[in-house]
Amino acid sequence: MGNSFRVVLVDDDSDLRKLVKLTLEFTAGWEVTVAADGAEGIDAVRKIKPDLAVVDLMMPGMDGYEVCRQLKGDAETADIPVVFLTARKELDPAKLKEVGAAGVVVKPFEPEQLAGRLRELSGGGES
Amino acid sequence: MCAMLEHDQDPDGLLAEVRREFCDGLPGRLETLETALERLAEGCDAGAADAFYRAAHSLKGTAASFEADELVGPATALADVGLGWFKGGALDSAALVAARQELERLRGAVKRYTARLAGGAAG
Repeated sequence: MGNSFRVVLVDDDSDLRKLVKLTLEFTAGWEVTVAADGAEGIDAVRKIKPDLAVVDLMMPGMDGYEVCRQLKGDAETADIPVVFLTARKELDPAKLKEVGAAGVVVKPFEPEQLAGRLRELSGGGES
Repeated sequence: MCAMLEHDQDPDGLLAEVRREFCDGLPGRLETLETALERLAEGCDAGAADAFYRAAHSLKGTAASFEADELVGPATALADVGLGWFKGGALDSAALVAARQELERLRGAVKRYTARLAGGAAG
């Protein structure tokens, strides 16, 4: 697992965390660490320095925008791409740009295509 | 944080297990929505509006991702109603009636999804 693509997934819905983790680990062989809220997610990203952070937009307490803002504001994590995962179709492109998000994946996602789409959004090309 | 999944397990078996856990959690999600709606019916309650919208919105996205198609329609309708309350909109009786109807529709959908899953046809 030492050289595998590492992801921190932040989502307050435990069922969705399990589904995304399972999908990315089995379809792409990625190493996925999960966090249940924004603060835990930021801690995990700071500790692991993953290749990508996948963050739910709407979470209680700290939302995805704030998680992204904090990661981009920290020199240690600023270069880690952040992709939002959300069920909302109407998002403000200016706000996404302002917080420095690499992109958005809208739920529901196609399991077979999720890793490729995330890799593409994070600037890593094909998985 | 959860540990890595055990990769020596069968992916289809694991997916079935995760789907079953989602299904087992549906009564709890329904209860969250019902409790929040009753609090809203008793009077303006920002915390209940927040809880209602978040629960409906979360179910909408998660149900769709689990291909629980029966649940997506009522969950989306509940999230749409809840969004207005979440944004501080008026809590009128028509919206409460609509939410109760959609919640009833969701209860039926949960039963159908549970039966479909038990029959091995989900996903």
